[in-house]
Formats: sequence, structure tokens, C-alpha cells
Amino acid sequence: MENKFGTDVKRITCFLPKGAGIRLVERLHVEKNIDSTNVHTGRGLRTVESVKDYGAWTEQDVLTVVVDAEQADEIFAFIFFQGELNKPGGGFIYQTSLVKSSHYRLPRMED
Amino acid sequence: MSLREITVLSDIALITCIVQRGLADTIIGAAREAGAQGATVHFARGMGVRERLGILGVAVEVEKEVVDIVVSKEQVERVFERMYLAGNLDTPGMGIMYITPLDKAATYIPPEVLKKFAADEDAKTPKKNKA
Repeated sequence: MENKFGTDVKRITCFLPKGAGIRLVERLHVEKNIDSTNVHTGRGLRTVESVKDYGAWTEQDVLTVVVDAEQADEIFAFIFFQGELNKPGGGFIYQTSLVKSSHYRLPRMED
Repeated sequence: MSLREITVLSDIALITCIVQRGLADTIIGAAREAGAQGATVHFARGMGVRERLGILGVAVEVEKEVVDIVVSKEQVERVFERMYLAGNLDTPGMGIMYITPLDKAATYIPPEVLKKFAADEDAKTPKKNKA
């Protein structure tokens, strides 16, 4: 199989308020043509910005997407702004390098 | 700061700690005492040492909690060590933890914090002599 593995790939993970993960999955699919994403839920303790934040656990979505390195900055910025991570309580996003990744893409219809 | 700017954080690392269900809060408490700001926990199911301990394996919980904590590289060794000790990870079956270096990260940073950093950077930069 062609392109079975990708080696220059990045994993972008972000912690988001509950519900934001699925919305971003839809937008990544529609606007960036990314079909493979994962969302799971957890609980999060945010950085203390005021007294009421101290010790306050909230439900969180954790979104993970694996992308080619050349596309990583674009997707990182897309998630950052569309997920409203630039606002207080918006969450946290980070990117890591991967050694290898499976790389299956659906064949085109004419193939 | 404009709304379209990303303040990228570098020199950071992710500490992941996988422990038996119910132990995450103790470990997060230790991490926060050591300087960690936030944490995320999710549930998982694990296997490994439990199966190899034979009858003693019943003492190891199958359900796990996975703790993710992002810290600066300056803090990472200290936080890691405190979490390790709090979780008794030197005991078989208690769990595993590891550090992943991160390329970059971003989040909301209050404007007053950004201003303070900008002022600190300006103070560090040597002033050029006027001709």
C-alpha cells in the first residue's frame, strides 16, 4: 500500500470545555478536510485566574488530531481560534512530534 | 494583543501519569505543591503487571486514571519527582509515568501577564548607545 506510514507527522492535542470537542471535529472535517480525529472526555483543573477557580474541577473534552508536519501550524492556529482558546477558560492546546504514524486515506472514487 | 495573535509557549513538557482509579487527586495535589498550574484527568482501563502478579494481582485496580500535566522544562524534574513519590510508583502495579517534550503550546494569557513579560524582556535587552 502506498503511503502506509507517515514519518513527518505531528499530534495536536487540546483540552476544551465540554461540547467544544465535537463541534471542532465537524469544523475540521468541513473546512480542513480532516476526517480522522479523536475526542474523549475527562475532568480538568484550570490555571487559577481568580479565587473562584481554585480547586474547581470542570468537565472537559480532549481532542486529538494527527496531521502532516507541513499542515500542522495551520491546523494548530485553526483549532486555537475556532475553539476560542484565546479567551479566558477556553482551554489549552499543544503539539508534539511523532516518530511514525499510520496514514490511511480513502481512495478516490475514480481510482 | 490582537485577537488574531497566538502567544506560543515553548520549552515545556507534558507529564503523563497512569495510576489506579482514585489516586489521581493525591498525585495532582503533589504536582501543584511543586508548582504545576493545572491538570486534566480521564479514565482508562489497563493491564500489565496485574496479570503477572498472580493472586496478588487482585490488589491492583483494573480501572485507571490518566493524569496529564503540562509544565515548563525548568519545573519538569521537580514536578515529576514529587508525583512519582506521591503515587508510590516504585511499587509494582501502582502505575507508570513519563515525560513527553512538546514542540509548542498555546492558551489564553491575560494581557497584564503579557505586558509584564514584555517589560521584563525589554529590561533584559541591552540599550543601544545613541550616536
